[in-house]
Amino acid sequence: MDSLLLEPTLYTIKGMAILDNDGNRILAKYYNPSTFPTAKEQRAFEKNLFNKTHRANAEIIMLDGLTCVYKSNVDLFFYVMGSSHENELILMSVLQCLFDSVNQILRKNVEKRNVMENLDIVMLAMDEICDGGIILEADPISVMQRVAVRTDDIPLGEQTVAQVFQTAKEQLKWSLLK
Amino acid sequence: MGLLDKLSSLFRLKKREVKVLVVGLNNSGKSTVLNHLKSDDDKITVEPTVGLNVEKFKHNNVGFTALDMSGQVRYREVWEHYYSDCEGIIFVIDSSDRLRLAVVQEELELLLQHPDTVGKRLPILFFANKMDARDALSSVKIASALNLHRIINKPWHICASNAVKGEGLDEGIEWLTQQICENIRKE
Amino acid sequence: MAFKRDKKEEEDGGGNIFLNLEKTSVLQEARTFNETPVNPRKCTIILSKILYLINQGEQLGTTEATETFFAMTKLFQSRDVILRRMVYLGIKELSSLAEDVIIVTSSLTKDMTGKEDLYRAAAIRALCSITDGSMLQAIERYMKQAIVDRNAAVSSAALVSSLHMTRIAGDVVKRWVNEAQEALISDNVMVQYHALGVLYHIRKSDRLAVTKLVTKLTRSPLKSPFAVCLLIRIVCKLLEEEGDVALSESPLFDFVEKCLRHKSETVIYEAAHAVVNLRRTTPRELAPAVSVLQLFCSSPKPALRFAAVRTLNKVAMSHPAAVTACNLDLENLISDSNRSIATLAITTLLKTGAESSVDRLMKQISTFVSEISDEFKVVVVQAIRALCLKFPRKHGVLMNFLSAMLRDEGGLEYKASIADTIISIIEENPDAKETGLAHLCEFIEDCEHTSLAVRILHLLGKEGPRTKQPSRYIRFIYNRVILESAVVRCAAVAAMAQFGASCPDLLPNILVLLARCQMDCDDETRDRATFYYHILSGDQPQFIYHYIVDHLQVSIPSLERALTQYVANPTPEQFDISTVPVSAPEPTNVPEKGHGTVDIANPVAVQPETPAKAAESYAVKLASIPELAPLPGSLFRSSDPVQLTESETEYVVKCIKHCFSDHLILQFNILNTLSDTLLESIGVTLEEPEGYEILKEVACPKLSCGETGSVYVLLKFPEDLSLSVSTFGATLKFVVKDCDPTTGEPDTDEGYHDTYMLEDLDVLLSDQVVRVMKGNWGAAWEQAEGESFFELEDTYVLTSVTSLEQAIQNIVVFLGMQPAERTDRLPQGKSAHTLLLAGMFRGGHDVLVRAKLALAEGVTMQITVRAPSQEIAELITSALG
Repeated sequence: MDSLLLEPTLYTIKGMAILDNDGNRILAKYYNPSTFPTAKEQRAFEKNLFNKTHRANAEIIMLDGLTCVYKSNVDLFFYVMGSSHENELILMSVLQCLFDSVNQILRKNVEKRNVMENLDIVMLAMDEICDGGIILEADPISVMQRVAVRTDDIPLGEQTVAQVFQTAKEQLKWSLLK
Repeated sequence: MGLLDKLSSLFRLKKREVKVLVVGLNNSGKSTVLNHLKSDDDKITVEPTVGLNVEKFKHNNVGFTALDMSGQVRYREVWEHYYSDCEGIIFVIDSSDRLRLAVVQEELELLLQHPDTVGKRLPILFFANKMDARDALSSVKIASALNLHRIINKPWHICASNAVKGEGLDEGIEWLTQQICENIRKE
Repeated sequence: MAFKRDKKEEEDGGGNIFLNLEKTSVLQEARTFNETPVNPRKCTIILSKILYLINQGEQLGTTEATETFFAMTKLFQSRDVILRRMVYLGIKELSSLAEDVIIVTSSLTKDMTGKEDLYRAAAIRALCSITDGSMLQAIERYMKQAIVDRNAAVSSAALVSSLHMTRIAGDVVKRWVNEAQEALISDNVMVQYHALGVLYHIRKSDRLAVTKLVTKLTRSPLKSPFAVCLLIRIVCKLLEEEGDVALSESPLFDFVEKCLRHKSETVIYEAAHAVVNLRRTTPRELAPAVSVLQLFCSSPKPALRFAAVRTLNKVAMSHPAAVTACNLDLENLISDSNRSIATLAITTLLKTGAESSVDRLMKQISTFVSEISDEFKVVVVQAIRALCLKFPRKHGVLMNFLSAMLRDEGGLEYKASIADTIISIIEENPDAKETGLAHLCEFIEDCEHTSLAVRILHLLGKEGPRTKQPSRYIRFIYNRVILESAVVRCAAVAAMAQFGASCPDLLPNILVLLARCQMDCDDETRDRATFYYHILSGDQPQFIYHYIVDHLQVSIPSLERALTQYVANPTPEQFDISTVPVSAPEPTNVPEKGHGTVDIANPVAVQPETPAKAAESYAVKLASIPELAPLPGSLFRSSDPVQLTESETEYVVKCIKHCFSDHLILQFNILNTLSDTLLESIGVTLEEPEGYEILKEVACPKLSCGETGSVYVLLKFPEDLSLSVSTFGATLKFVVKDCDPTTGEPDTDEGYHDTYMLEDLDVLLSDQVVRVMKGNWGAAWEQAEGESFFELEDTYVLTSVTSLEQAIQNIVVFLGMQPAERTDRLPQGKSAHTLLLAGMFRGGHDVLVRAKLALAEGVTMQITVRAPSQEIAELITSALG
């Protein structure tokens, strides 16, 4: 009988996904060509995953031979997938990192609308957390540093309109005070 | 959005940004030419370029963005992807490499006949590089060997250079800056 | 749908620029990349749109991808950090779609060696995605530097990329082992983890190096919990490869045990999971692991509870007693809001609990079975199967539960597992047969899965005629003929024929039904109906037996190959089906090992290669050896490999015995384990026993270290059958050349001859017999009497065995025949038993054996053999003597 001992490899993550509250994909990535090779299979899996998880906030489920850990917030669902025997706690730390990173990027307003507005940074964060199935970083603080969001010192080109206005106002205030 | 656009257009008035393409056969000294033009803290040791490199330098308050194209055979066909949106071309020639002058002519011909360059008044600056080499041809000889005089719809200029020491580079860039500024004013 | 989308758009107030993107227009927008100077904000948004589209599954053609890629290269002129990082992402996404992607090599190399830290790590990863084997050499120097870089992100990026690149250029990456070694002592936890992963990958084929690495690391604790988990996995791999030493004596296991007291839960769980899954774990090692899992059961984190209960479930399969201590904690989990946890808890309890709790647990589980995923429903079904074996009296409750599950919604795999379970319960427990068949009949009335319906019809044909009231099944079967697809109709016709053959009083009715089926619009159904009608109405009992009751025994892949060959090379002779190898039925599982250990966590278990397939692949392999051609007929049976040396010697030799109808091929597989020798002209000298004749030997020309090669010896069986069971002395002979262990090149051209004694090789009766499954052994036994078989009877006292089970097991192994009618299962508390066996002797001779056993002083056995020739019958009776 085949052993359930895990192969010593760094390739731990089979996939990551962020879905909205209709089960539609916002971002998703599958790292192993043999798990859901086509977009169609991926969609089917995500639909199924969403249906099984959106009501019960139960954190973990086995589906299609994968261990999936998940977490939801307002109108977003975050998922991390690993092989069926993968150490569930490792998957959880990756999920936690994904969530915390997004949480910080969006300044604690984890909602679909905000994700869409900062999609570039969220993509970069996902890329910093997992590279081709290998966990690259599981500490949200490091991830934040690496996606170049310097919370205090954002280059002008990167600020949102609201932020530009905010800075402009501040500056105006200062110049008046002087 | 609107605010940002305005901000950046304000920038453009103050400082000119131009884009030039640097081409030529491999080992002609393109990257060395650029390395010399760059500010001192940006210098690198030059190695054969794979694909392309983007470099920046300033001349007379004009900011240059130079696309340093690889001259290796397999990458030469990549050049044409960048013809459409440059404002000038620097063509670097190894004046000591008599053997491949024919190849230079061939590549130049392809450049001149490409649909993206043919109707445009693109200024072309030729550097007859490595003029210090013992068997280097003079810039005049190279100009006639390449039959440069037949180019009539584009301003061109050739000057001898030694990129390692930086000799002759400023003269050429001065000419190119003028030509590009003139083009922009006409628009 | 369209309406819904419109409404959504309004809700979003048009703020979402990613809504309803259209590929061509987005790619058009990418032209903005050509503008000077680059507008970083605008370009970042466009690039995000492109990446978003790709992420949504939009396909880009090569031209589209290449154009976008080239446009993207122009963005290198901007120094905006976010834009540059998005360009890297774009490069990675398009690297497999676009052409000429290596043109960004220099740009990326510049970024990776530059001063901007925010570029460097990401540039390395992008660079490696566009680098092929030939270009890797060019960036090798930078990669080595990056691995030992002080910046953790750079170092991690380089290590991770190195690992990705081993797929295209393993040799180059191997040269970076020193750098990886240096990274291993990094202060950063992720760098440490990645370095360990890379080091292990580079060294994994060198056991000694891995052992050294592990020994060093188990002494000086790693800081990263991930790295410790990885180390535990490496250690377990080494432990599994160790011999059969007790785990408690292995220093490696010490390390795993210590990890059970680690401060990180992740590591503790990894260690517990490892202990549970190690092959040699005994209850003693299990106890501390079970205690930590027990603690985890009451964790507030669902993932941890899930992990714990899933692992306990695994323990319950092999060591139910070890889990009973956790019963209370498991009871608390059966109402867990996470249904997966509840299911696992219940199924674990079912395995460890008492018969009295079955009803309660089944009731609990039925309240939420519809909410869990198919995966877990299969887990439940498997638990029920195990329960039925354990508590046969509970079959009523369980069978009802199963039939309710059958009626629910569910996929094929799920339904098949239920049907499988019902079938196995029917086979195990005669009391459950009638109810089980009734449930299945009901199920096929409304079954959308053709393959399942066909299997159940086949089962009805096999079991139905031998029930008390066969006629009740006919209606269900005939309904299929009226209502179903052609494939199902065929199976139904075949099933009806079985009833006709075995139940004379039903025969007239069956003939009427079959006559109707001859009007069917499907060719196959019509043909079968016609065929069966004529056989059944022909009043020729031996035809009925041979063509209906007794099914085809040949191995299907072999038959296919034989027929292909026959069609390809037409001969005037008729095709002789007796030359096709018989397929042995799959070995039936011993109860405690069999269904009980169905892997609950991995419902999609890997099917082991069936014997028929293995035999077929041997046949193909032998046929491909030119020196052995032509083979002496078709391969009848291949034995399992027999070890002729100790496992840790200079040369490891195994022998496979390939039996043909009059010949025997011995295949010796030789593994050279000496790193500094090269073997040449390897052969095997056999001391042939009386009667055997060596016809041909095929030597193996050359074996360097780590290689396995084969030597073949072709022999003719003795004319006198009684001599065929015999023992061969065997010696390995070869020429040895010393060689350089690193290159494998011999030092000199001259070698010396040497020999190596092997253990004696036995050719047994079981090597010459194939197991044959007789669906109806009684009918075959009577048929044999009618067909002038020789019968031989003898009585023995088996002194060496003390129980009937042991006697049954020994007889089955000695004779190599298939127990029929489940007579290998001993009803409890009996002192006498009859074992029925069927097999086929080489040359295609059917053999039937009846052994009556009685427990006295030792076991007394009266054996009756029916075989087509006196000699075979004698050989078989004497094999047990």
